[in-house]
Amino acid sequence: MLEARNLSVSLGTGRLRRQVLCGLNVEVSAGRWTCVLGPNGSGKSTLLKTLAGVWPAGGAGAGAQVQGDVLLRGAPLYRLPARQRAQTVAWLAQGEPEATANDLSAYDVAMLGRLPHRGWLAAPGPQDHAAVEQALRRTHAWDWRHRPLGALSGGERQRVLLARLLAVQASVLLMDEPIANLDPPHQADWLRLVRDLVKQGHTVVSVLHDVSLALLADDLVLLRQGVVHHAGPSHSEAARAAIESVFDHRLRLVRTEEGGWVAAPC
Amino acid sequence: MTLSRSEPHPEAGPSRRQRSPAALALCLLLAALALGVLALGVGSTGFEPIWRMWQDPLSAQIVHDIRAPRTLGAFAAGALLGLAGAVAQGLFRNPLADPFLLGSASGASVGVAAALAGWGLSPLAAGWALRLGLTGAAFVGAVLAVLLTLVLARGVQQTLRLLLAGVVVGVVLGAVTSLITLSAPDTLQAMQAFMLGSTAFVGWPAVWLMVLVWCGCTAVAWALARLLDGLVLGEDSAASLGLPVAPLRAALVAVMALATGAAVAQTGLIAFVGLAAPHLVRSLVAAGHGWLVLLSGLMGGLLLLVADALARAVVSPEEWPVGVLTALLGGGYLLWLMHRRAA
Repeated sequence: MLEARNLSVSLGTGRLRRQVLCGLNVEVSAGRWTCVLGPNGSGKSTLLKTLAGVWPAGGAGAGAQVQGDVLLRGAPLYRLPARQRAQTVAWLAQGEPEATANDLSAYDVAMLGRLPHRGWLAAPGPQDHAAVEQALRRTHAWDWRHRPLGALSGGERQRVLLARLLAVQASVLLMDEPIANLDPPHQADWLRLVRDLVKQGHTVVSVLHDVSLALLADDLVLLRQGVVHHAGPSHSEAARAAIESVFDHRLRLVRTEEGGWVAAPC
Repeated sequence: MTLSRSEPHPEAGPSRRQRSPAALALCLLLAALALGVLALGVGSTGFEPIWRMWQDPLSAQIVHDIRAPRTLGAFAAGALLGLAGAVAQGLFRNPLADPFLLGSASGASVGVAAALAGWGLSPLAAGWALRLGLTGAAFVGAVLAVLLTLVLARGVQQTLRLLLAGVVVGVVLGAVTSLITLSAPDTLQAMQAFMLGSTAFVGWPAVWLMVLVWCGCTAVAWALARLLDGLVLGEDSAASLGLPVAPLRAALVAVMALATGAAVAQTGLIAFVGLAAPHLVRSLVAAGHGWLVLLSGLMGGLLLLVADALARAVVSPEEWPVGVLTALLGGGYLLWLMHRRAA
C-alpha cells in the first residue's frame, strides 16, 4: 500500500543539519494496523511525516531534504497532485495545536479535514457536514462540537483532532502519538476505532509510546537510529525479542494470564 | 450513546456562533455610513457647509474637496490596515501580529525621510507635487523593505525566520531614518507628522487608489482564505490537507505588503488599527478567514473614521494627528484585552 524505498531524510540547516532517516526501507500492508515503535529520536515522526507527503516535492522546503522514494500503490507519492494525495493519505500531527486554533469550534476544526474534497471557493456541502458529524460522533466529540478548542481539555482536544483526521475519509490514516493525552477509557475507544477502521478496509499507521498497546497492532516496525531494526507481525517471538533489544533491554515483555503481553521497564 | 433529539442545523449553537457574519458586515457598513455623514460636519465651520452646499460654492468646496476625501480616505486607510492585520495574524498564526511586521512601516519612513532630505523640501510647501512625491516614496520604501525582509528570511517558508527578519529590517531602517533626519534637521517637523499619521492631506486620487487596492486585496485574500483556515493547525497539517502552502503564502504576503504600503503611503504610520480590528471582529463573531478579512477591513475603516472624527472634534478648531488617538485607543483596548484574558 505505502512503501518507503531507500529513504533518507535530513532536517535543519547549516551546522544544525542532521540525518534523521538513513536509507530506510519499509512497506505498510493495506488493510492492516501497523505500529511504529522505537526509542526517542529514532525517526518515527519523521518517517510518518514523509509517508504523509508533507515535505514539499523535491524536499528542499523548511530545511528538510528527502532522498529515496515513497510509493503509494506502486506510484511515487510525491508526484501525485497534492489534493489527490491529501484525499488518500491523512496525517495527524503530534502534540498540541497552536494557540491560534483556540478560537475555532470543535466543529470548525473537524471541517478542516474536508479541505481536500471541497472546491476552491465552495462552501461545505451536505456531504461535508455528514462526514464531519460522523467523525465527531465516532470520537465522542459531537456533544460539545460548538465549544472553542481553547476551552477543551487536552484529551478532548485530541479527540477533536482525531475527528479532523477521520473527516478526510482517506484510505490511509497516519497518526503520530494519537493517544498521548487520552485516559484509559478513551484509549480503549481509540483502539476500538482503529480496529473498526481496519475492518472497513482502511490502512492505519500509528506511532505509539505505549509498548503494551503497540503489541496489539497487526504489524510492528521498530526503528533505531534512522533505520528499520525489525519489521513484521507483532505476534511473534522474533518481534518481542526485537522490541527488547531496540530498547536496550531496559524493558521486559511479560505474559499475562489472558495470553497477552505487557511491557515492564527494568 | 443515544442522541435521539434531532438537530435542525449543525451550525446552531451559542451566541458568538449564531451571529451571522453577513449581518455584522451590514451593521459595520451602516455604522460607517452614519459616522461618515457625521464626520462631514466636523470642522471649523461645523455642519453649516453641509446645509448650504447646494447654494454656496465655497461650502460645496469645503465639503467636496476637504471633508469628503479625508473622511472617505480615513475609512479606506483603516480598511486597508484592518485587512492587512487580519492577513498578518492568520499568516503568522499569532494574534499579536501586526501589518507593520515585515518592515513596511520603517521602509515607508525611510522613503519619506529620504524624499524630504533629498529634495530639500520644506514641510510648509505642502503642494500637490510634494504630496504625490512623498506618497510614492513611502510606497516604494514599504515594498522594498518587505522585499528585503523576504530576502533576509530566504523566502516565506519559515514563520519564525520571517518574523525575526522583519524585526531586524525594522530596527535597521529605523536607524537609517533617524540618521537621515538628523543630517537634515529642517525635515524634522514633516517627519514627525508622518510618523504620527494623519488623514489631513488625503485628496480624491489617494481615496480612489486606496479603495481600489482595498477591493482588490480583499478579493484575493477572500479567495486564499482557506489557506489561512488550514494554517491554524500548523504548516505541516495544512500541507497534509493538500494546500499548496508556499505559493499561497507568498501571495498573501504580497497582499499584506500592498495593502499596508498603500495605506502608509497616504496617511503615514497609524498604529494599532491593524492589530485591534481583527481582534474586535473575532470577539463579535466566529467565522472563517474569508469573512474575517472582509469584516476586519470594515472594522478597521470604522475605527479610523471614529478616531479621525475625534481627532478633529476634541480640540476643534485645532486637530490632533489621528495616529496619536489610535495609539491611545488601541493601547487602552489591548490593555483591557490583556486584563480580561488574565482574569
